[in-house]
Amino acid sequence: MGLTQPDTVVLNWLLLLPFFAALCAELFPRLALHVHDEKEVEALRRGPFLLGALTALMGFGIALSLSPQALRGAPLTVDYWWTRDLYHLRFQADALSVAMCATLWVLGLVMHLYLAGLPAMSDVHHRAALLLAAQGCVAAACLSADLVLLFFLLELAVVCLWLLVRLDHQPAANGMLAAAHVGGLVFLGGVLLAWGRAGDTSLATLPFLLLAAEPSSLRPMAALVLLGLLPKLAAAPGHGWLPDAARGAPATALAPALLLPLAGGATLVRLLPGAFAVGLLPSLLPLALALGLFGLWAGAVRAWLAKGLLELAAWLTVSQAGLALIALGAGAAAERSPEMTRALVLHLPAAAAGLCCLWVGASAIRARLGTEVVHDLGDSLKTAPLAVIALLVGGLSCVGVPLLPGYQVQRLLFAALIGQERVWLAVAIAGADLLLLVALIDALRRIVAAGSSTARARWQSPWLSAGVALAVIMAIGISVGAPAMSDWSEVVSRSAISVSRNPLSVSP
Amino acid sequence: MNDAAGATSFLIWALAIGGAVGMVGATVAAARGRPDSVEEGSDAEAASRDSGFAWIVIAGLSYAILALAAVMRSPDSDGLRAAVVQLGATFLAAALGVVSLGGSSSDDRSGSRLASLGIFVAWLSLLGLPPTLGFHGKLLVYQSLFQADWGWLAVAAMAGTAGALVPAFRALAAPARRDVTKSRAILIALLVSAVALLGVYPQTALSVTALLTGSG
Repeated sequence: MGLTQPDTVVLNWLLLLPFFAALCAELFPRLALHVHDEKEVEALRRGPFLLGALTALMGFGIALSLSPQALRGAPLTVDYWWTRDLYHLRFQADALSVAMCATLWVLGLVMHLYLAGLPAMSDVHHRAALLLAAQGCVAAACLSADLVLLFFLLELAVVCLWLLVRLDHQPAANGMLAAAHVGGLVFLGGVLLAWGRAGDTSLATLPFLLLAAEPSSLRPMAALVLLGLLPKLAAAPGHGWLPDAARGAPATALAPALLLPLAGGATLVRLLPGAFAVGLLPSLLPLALALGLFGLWAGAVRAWLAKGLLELAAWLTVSQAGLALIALGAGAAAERSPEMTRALVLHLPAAAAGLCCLWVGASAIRARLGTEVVHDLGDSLKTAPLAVIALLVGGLSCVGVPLLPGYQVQRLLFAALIGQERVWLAVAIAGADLLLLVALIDALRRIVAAGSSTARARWQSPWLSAGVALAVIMAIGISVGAPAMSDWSEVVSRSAISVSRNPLSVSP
Repeated sequence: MNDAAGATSFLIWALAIGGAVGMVGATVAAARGRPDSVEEGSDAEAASRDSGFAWIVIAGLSYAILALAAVMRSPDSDGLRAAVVQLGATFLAAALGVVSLGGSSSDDRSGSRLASLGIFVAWLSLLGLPPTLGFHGKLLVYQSLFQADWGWLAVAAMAGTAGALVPAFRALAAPARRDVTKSRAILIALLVSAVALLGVYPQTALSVTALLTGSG
């Protein structure tokens, strides 16, 4: 494919844009210090984050410009020469990766606006650069079509987020890096087994090469990939870093909380039902199902017991990761249940939108009132109405209330489970949803209750409000665009979820 | 003939066990905490952190020995390439660490910032994290161990990498301020660029390796 082809240029921009912007965010404020006086520099303080927001907006536009081709089932591929004979820089823009990039850039826009609106913060340009670099790595990981490259980019994203969280709280950042890196090494074990078995790391050829292998030899590699992705998904039992980050680094915890599960979820969908054809591996599915149920209920119970809004958001994130694993385990077990596969695919943007509202709402309340402890937050509806609305929309979406993004996922999930006569599983999910709803209503009841506030409201930046409003608009937009999202999930599941056409449906 | 095969087998296992013992022993030695008698922030504490770095460099060299054992066990494996890349990555990281840790204590912020960057990138490479050459070195070592049907040794090597996080976190928690002379600053900048550029574009390192091993 020639480099002059317009779509290839578009894909190049999508890949390189955040790294350009990260460089600018890091360099320009240092130069500005030499040119402007202190007052002017203070006025420019939000510049790096607004540059990040602009970059995110451009990234969103670029991702959308690729979508017509991706939805037609004609993914765009780029294969750079990275290492001559080992592994390649292979990227592919298909329906899944383009939609993940579009979701990622909206999350990026929200995060940059939120950080631009925070009160005085040291090293602002450094934070903006690290956040942009992490976004770039996650975008490239979503577009990646090579196993080693995927591992490289996921680990690099973790390093960037580690440096970002480290600016606020070292132990929380170290915990996150340790969990994600140990998970990464387990994931690498699966990648190396697949590489050894297939002799190639390209996701396009991997399913065909693995088709000849014995299912028993595929089992350990798929199990390692699944277990290795748990910390990045924030799924139990690899979830411990997220509540720690929410406690230790409340101002920046939303960056890893939103970026890592999105990257982990996209990789999970790309590899397990796709490249590794999990339908061939029925023995792996009870493991996914058991981990999913454990995570869903552990998240629901701990969310119910949570005393702070960020803690609540962290445990809701854990429960959403559990739901994704249930969809994976139950879907593939039922010999290619299309509804379940679509539910898993649809869960990625829906959970991202719901959790974005929840995290940014909780973080905005903390920034406005100086605390996030539920008991100290009475009367918040008057002081931070938009943030409370974001909490409500995000929380209700996660529990699958109609007219919100999570509803479509739960509808498909329940329909498939009832179709499979697995009523007990549907009841277990409904029970966890109910518990989450009780936890959410209890928290919201306390924070809107009149006269019980001990927190004093601070000045709120319009950028912060813009970030919260955008998160709510994103969630509502996904709800309004439910038919289009449903069509998209069908395209993704029909084209076998990946650059790698599923060997179950397409023979080599 | 049997004696020769026996000697080769002995050598392979000696290399594998020696490499594994070196890796585990050095990582454990690096992970040991500072003695209670040593005060936080003192010169003795800084020396304890520096010795952790030295131990992890030794562990890095042990990974190269494991790769050599893998290529002796399975000549078709990428062990030789892995050993050369891993050795190169470890030497570069060690040089960067030595240059960055070598200055005297100082309050000069710009100098200390560059030294901190050097120490950070050196640790990143020794841990095998991207975007450094150490990532590719470790990856090739694991791959060659899998190719030699030494999955358990690859798992042990990965566990050793995870264990190296302990001294790394301790060393990076409070980077000591180092005075950096102009020539030292240029050297740090060059080494940081080399480690990162070879990590982002590993083909150069692989081409040099092919020349050295005659496999190109």
